[in-house]
Amino acid sequence: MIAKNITKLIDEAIIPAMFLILAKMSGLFFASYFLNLEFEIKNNSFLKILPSLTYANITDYIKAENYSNLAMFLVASLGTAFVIVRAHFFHASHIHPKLHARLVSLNLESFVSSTYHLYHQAAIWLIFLWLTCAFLIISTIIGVTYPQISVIAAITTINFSWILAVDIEKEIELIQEI
Amino acid sequence: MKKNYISSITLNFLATIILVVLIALPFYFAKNISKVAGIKSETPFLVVSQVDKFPQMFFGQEGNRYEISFTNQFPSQAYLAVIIINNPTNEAKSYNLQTSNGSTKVFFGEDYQNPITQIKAPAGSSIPVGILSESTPNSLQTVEFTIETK
Repeated sequence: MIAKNITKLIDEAIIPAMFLILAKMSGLFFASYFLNLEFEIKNNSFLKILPSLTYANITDYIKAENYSNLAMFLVASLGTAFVIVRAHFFHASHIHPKLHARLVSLNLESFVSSTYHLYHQAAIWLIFLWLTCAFLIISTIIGVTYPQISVIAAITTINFSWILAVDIEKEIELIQEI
Repeated sequence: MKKNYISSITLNFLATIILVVLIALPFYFAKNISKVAGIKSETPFLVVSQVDKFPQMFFGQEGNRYEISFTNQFPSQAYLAVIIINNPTNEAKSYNLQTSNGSTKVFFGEDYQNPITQIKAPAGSSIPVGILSESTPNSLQTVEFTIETK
């Protein structure tokens, strides 16, 4: 009844969403811990059930936000990079025969992914990467995130999208050859 | 067959909403999980005295009990904007003036012909409070009142 693509996208979106939330939380925690930032945990203040962190002053808040946003972006980048590496080197449609044979001999054939699985995963990670980049740019505009982080994020996002586009192009060429 | 078609559209629509929520969730979380402590005013109102603009008028306060004394000049006299009440909160507040018994009344606004003792003040707004006195000229008048918030 439900389109297979939507079910697959929901399935692929759960883990990245969890990773991004964890990255944000870890970023806040480590920034507060290592930089000795003054904060207070307020219960039931976020969505009326979850606790939120309230920083004593704007300087501490900006520091914590910058490090946690950077952690979030790093996780989104790593996830996308992982999918890109799989799409380039472990893609079932164009994996190098020698590498494939080696993976089979090492009993690591599960590393090889189908186009269907890879492109759904890539779509989700790219959406998260672009949204994180947009989030950082908006945060920079309102004066919270340092502009350097947003610039790096934009460059990384554009490059990752381009690398994935190259892989999609290669895939289209292969289909046309067949 | 038609029933299946409708349920299929509904299910796909709901699945799309779940997907959108799932994608938006980390950013909503990232935006709201941390805050900076602001100056949070617990005071439901601020009273600004304007009595120095009126001759021989004095203003006193003890807790939430306010006292204004003055010398009446005419048998019936109104003093407008003697004090200003400001709502410093982020929401509308209703204020109620409770005046002690006497010939002098305290009211909100500047319409002395229609004195009101209850008003709803929008967030951040200021409301003038006036005095309406009816007594013999040159007599010393004292009015005591409290301001209650709803």
